Amino acid sequence: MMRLCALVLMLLWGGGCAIQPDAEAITAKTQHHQPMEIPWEGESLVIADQPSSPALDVGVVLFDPGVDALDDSPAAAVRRLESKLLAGQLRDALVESNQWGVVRMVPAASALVPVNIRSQIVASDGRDLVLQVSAIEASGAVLFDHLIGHRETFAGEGFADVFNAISNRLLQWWQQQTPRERSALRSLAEVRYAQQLAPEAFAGLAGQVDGRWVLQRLPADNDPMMRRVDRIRNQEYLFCDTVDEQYVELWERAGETYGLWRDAGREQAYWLDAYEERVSARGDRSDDSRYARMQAEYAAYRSYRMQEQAWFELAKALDGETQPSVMKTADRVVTLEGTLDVQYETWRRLLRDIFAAEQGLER
Amino acid sequence: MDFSGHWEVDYARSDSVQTQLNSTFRDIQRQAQRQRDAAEKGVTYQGPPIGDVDAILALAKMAELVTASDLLEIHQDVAVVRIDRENSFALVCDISDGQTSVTQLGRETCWWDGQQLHFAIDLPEGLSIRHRFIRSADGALLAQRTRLSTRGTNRDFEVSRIFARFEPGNRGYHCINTLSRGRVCSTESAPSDASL
Repeated sequence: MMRLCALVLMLLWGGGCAIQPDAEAITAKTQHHQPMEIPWEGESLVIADQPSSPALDVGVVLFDPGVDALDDSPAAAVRRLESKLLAGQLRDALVESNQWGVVRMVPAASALVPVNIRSQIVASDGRDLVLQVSAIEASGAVLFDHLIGHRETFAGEGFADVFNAISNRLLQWWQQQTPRERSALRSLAEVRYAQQLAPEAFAGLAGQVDGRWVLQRLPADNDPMMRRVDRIRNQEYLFCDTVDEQYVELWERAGETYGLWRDAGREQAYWLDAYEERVSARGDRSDDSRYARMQAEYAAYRSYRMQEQAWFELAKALDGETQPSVMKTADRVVTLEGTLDVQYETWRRLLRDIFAAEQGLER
Repeated sequence: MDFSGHWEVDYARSDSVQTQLNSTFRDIQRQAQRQRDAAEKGVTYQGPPIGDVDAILALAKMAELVTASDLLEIHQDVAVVRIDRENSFALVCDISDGQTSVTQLGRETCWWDGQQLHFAIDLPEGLSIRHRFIRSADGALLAQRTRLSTRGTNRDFEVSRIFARFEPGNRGYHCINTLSRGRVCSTESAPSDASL
């Protein structure tokens, strides 16, 4: 992992982390053969007095941890935990910007919102974070797709710059949209959601042209089916609120320890850099006693292992937990089990069934 | 073989690093004397090299550091043995796959040879730490033999610590290591209190 980060960040910084890039337009080739976005160091969040009108709702998909779902190693457990915590931080940045309507965390990309932000953790070791981030709107168009690297240089720095930048890039795109385009996007998302509930009933409202969904006509304002769709949508929002509550709880339980893990990872990475420099500069002419050198080396290893083990234990414990979600529909209470993805899919299927039953549609 | 349980060091049965060091130096003195005798007689010294005294001293001090844990708590299932050591990192071994952990800070391997559980830690500048754990036939004692060596000297330094099994409930307190607050100890209710 550290080697991967070293590779990616070496490309980013051109061999020296102290050297800042002149502009974000500078790119470097990565092993993904995709231009790497230079980290937006020090980028401030563009905060609005009030959200634009019409307000754009945004979905933050829980990050893809970038590890095999069957991988039960401690490292994978850490990644899975981190994927939820980082998604929450991105959500918080978007909310703080006050540019958007409702910003929801969703287990999977959904037509529930006009724009979904999807992210994958490519590498993370406490000091270096590499993310693949894309924003996709309801038509299927990719608004941006960035490979982002960030190196944390001091305790508590966090990844605010990265998340601020994502919010700002989304804003840049949104500001380029005309009022008509904005309105059409929101309508398209509503229609696509309705189509996913009952494809045949809403077949003529939107269609695919050159691989993208295009709004063909709007439903009537007083369409009773659309009112039912709204009600079902509100039920799905409930699930997102549950995801949100679970994130808050997770942050309370693991946030502090996650911060400590990052601190430890960063300190070790810098210690290791300094250590390698010392070793290469020293040769055999060290003034350090043999014992002092052995002790420093062992202390570093012991510290690394202790922190790693403590964090892994916590991550594994939290990774194993799948909190059931208790959801209420109009006439019954449903307890959803399994991973969040599974719970979400179960809930969506249930909502589709309810909708179909109410409409007398075949499923 | 089941290692699981709580173990505390038995000082009476364990080596003292100082005693081991004295013994090593006596051995070095004997070798040096033989070397001098050989030189006086004009013959070539045939014994092993004396070794780097600085390195031996450093290894002895390191042995003290590496074996400082007085308490062990061992968890074991069919595949994994985990030795939690007081104020140090746990030694964890997945016996089924001969686990190896490699980082830039060091390399750790372990294996079970049918009688003893082995851990090998190799640090980048050449310090090598070998732990062997052996349980007595009656399960009451556990020996931890730790051998340290380093590049540049052919003399290893070995120290043995003997642990005796104990039941933690009898101690009147228990401690856990936490990441955020370090070692946290709390008193336990005496059995008579529990019934109140």
